Amino acid sequence: MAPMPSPQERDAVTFSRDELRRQTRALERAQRAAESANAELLRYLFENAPAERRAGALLGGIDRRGLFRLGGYTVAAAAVLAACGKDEPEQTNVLAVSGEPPVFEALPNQPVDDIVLLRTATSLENTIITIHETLIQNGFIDDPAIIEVLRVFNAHHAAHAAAFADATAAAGGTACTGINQKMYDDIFAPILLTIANSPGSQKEDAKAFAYSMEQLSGATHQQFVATYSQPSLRKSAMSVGAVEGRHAAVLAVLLNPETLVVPAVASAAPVATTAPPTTIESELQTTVASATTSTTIPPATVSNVIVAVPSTFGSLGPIPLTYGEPNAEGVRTTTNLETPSLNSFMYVDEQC
Amino acid sequence: VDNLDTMQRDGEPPPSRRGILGALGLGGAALVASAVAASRPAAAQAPDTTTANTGSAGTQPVASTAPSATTVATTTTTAPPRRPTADDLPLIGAARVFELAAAEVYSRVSARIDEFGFDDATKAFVGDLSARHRAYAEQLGAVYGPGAPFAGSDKIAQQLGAEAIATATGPQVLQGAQAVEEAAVDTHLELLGQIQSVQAATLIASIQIIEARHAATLASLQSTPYDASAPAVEDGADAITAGA
Repeated sequence: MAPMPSPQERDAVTFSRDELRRQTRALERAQRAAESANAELLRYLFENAPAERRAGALLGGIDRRGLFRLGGYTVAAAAVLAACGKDEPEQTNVLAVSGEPPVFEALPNQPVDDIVLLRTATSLENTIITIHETLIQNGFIDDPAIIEVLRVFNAHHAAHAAAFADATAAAGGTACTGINQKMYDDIFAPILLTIANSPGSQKEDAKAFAYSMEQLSGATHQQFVATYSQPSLRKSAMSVGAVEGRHAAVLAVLLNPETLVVPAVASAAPVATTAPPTTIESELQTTVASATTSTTIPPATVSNVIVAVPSTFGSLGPIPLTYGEPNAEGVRTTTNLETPSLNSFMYVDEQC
Repeated sequence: VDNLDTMQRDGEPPPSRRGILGALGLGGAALVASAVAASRPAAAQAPDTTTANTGSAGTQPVASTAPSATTVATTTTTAPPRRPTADDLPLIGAARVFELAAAEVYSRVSARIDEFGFDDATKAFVGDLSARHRAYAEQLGAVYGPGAPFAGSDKIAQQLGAEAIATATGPQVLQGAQAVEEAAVDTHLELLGQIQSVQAATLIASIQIIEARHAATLASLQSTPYDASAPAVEDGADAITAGA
């Protein structure tokens, strides 16, 4: 085994200095000769050669069009590499956004407890009072018998709201004293507006709306039974919900005494079997006028399911309400009324 | 106990709801479910550990018949049991016994449905009541599970006027049927205040709200006005069960 060299031996020059100097002088000569040739070439290009040749020579054989092509290839290659690349962390469900993306504040996680349900129940009772009063005071309902029972209903709704407000306070919450503004603005106000602007169907629509609100109220209290934490609160809910059911039945008997119960096989919403009567002007004109269409508005009991006992068990499904005058195609507006849920509860931090 | 024949003479104005039940001897009957034997051991879930603090939350007396105080409870973070507890079974069984008895009474009405002079709408409605109450009993039996009470109570059926049906007139049938429905509404309301199971409570609520509509419809068919005398809330005072 050879002995290890000392540090001095490792750093020592092991080739000839004369040979190094000879090679350096040879490189200098070659460099000078090459520079001379390049100088001749450049002189030729700038003084005698045409512009295309000059550009091609100076840019390494790439003309202007080729430069654009090269740029395109570069961009495409960058895209391919970016798509195939694994270096960046993978991002999913990210939409491309032009400019500064808006900043959204995450919705607070609101618990749905007894207090929220009681506040929502209170707000709905107050909302129904508002709607019934609107229907009466604007003359949308002018049948004295119906007005009389709606007044009784409203007295009951006021008592219900007060009872739920007391229950809210007893459970440690802040009682709701107003209407359910979310449901009113998004659902009920547009219906009222349509009824107000539909003189042809107004009376029938208003009756159907009043009935639907009583249906909705009863269904809401029934629905809340599944969510209340205490049997005593469930009992309170149905001590009110059953009365709302009575309201709906009383109104239904007034509006539709011919059908008190929906047979099980015919519980689906009624479907029009005949097209609405349409009258078209008979004389042809050179300038075609818009066709005059007259449509008979069916009674509320035909357009809507208004029956004293509509099902064997209390339904929690949507309550379809058809109202308003038909459009050009003869179609009337139908809105499905649904019991309050996550987006219409009156949470503890909401003004009510 | 008065029967349907003694409750109302033809031509007299129909009595109030409470009056009907009083005439039937059902008014104020206490809810006693002990007579219903829970013949199967509890599909027992752990009893609910929540404690209900009941108190009275005043209701505004808008009717001449003052509504009962609404009970309230403090909220809790303990989720109520979904399936019936051991303590729930007698209560669910009592509800089923009541519904079977009501179905029995109405089956006797249905047998004579053409004799009462009802119009088509009333005939369809009254004639369907037996099947409806039987459906309620079936669903309650399904929630109860194996060992559910098999038959209705003869005592309740008698109280509901089963024997009087044989000689009842059309108006008397309507009056008696209303009494049955009023008792059903109150019975289920009282059960709702005691049953812990969410599944059972949800079913009973869906039954009770329709039975309230039955009662209101029967009152309307007797031309009973729905006015300020109508109670604003159900009070459960007319609840009955097999032990009553």
